[in-house]
Amino acid sequence: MKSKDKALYLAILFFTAIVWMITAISGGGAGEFFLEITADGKSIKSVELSGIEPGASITLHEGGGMNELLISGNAVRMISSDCPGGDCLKMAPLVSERGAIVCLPHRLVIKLRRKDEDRNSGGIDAISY
Amino acid sequence: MRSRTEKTAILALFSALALAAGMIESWFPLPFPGVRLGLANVFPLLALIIFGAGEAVAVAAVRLCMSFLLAGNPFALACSIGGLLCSLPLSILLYKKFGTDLSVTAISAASATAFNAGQIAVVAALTSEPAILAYAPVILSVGAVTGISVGYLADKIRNRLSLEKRALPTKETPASK
Repeated sequence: MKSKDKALYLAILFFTAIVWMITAISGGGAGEFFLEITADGKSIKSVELSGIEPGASITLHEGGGMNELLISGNAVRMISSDCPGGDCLKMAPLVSERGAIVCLPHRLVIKLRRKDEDRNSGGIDAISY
Repeated sequence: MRSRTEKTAILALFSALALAAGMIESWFPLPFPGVRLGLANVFPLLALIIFGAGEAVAVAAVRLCMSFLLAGNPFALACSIGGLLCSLPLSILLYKKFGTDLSVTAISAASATAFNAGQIAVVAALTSEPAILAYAPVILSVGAVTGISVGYLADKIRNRLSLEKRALPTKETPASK
């Protein structure tokens, strides 16, 4: 430990805490969701989650590859993908409008959105780095 | 003054080790995307504390290009560039300005945090999806811890190598050997 170490560690902690707070205050809470799938920034599919029976899967052919989503109850996860990294398979299942499953090689973004999205309640509106 | 040849050899070794460390690490799948120990980052950091800023950038750049050529993942490349653009200037600045008052471990922790912030910003920009930033707190927290481990390791290696203190063989044979 050198003299300014503590200050730097505190700065890191502070930065992380702020990012944590920003993400914590936006979003959260239960409700009726619909599943929104975007490819290359354009919405390609939007399904009501309650209309899908648990255990059903959705197969997508976007960005020159294949991805398969599994819907189980109110959680959505990616179960197979032929992308090189397979990072999307490791992403946490979606349960609320916080977070997203992203498959960068296929330019796919899978999100849950609240039904009453007009109030602009979901997601992060603005964040600056 | 260290000989050019020795410096070139050491920097080449660092680059090769960084590349190898990165590849070995990728064999172990981790439960969370974007979370890695980042062992490869030990070597640019070593280059910074043993040689200087330019050498650190060189080791990082060689490793980046080589791992892209070997793995061929343009998205990983974009993420790494975004991360390095944040972490390298920060760690160089911290080391140059406050190097006497800061331990290598602390510099590495800050550098890892900056790297992760840059990386997640690139992912959010590439997908134009700010919701991905919900991952930021986890990645930043884990990143600070791995950054500390990496810094600790770099510090230990530096002491073992003691490249800084070691006097160079003065009776070097002329270049026309």
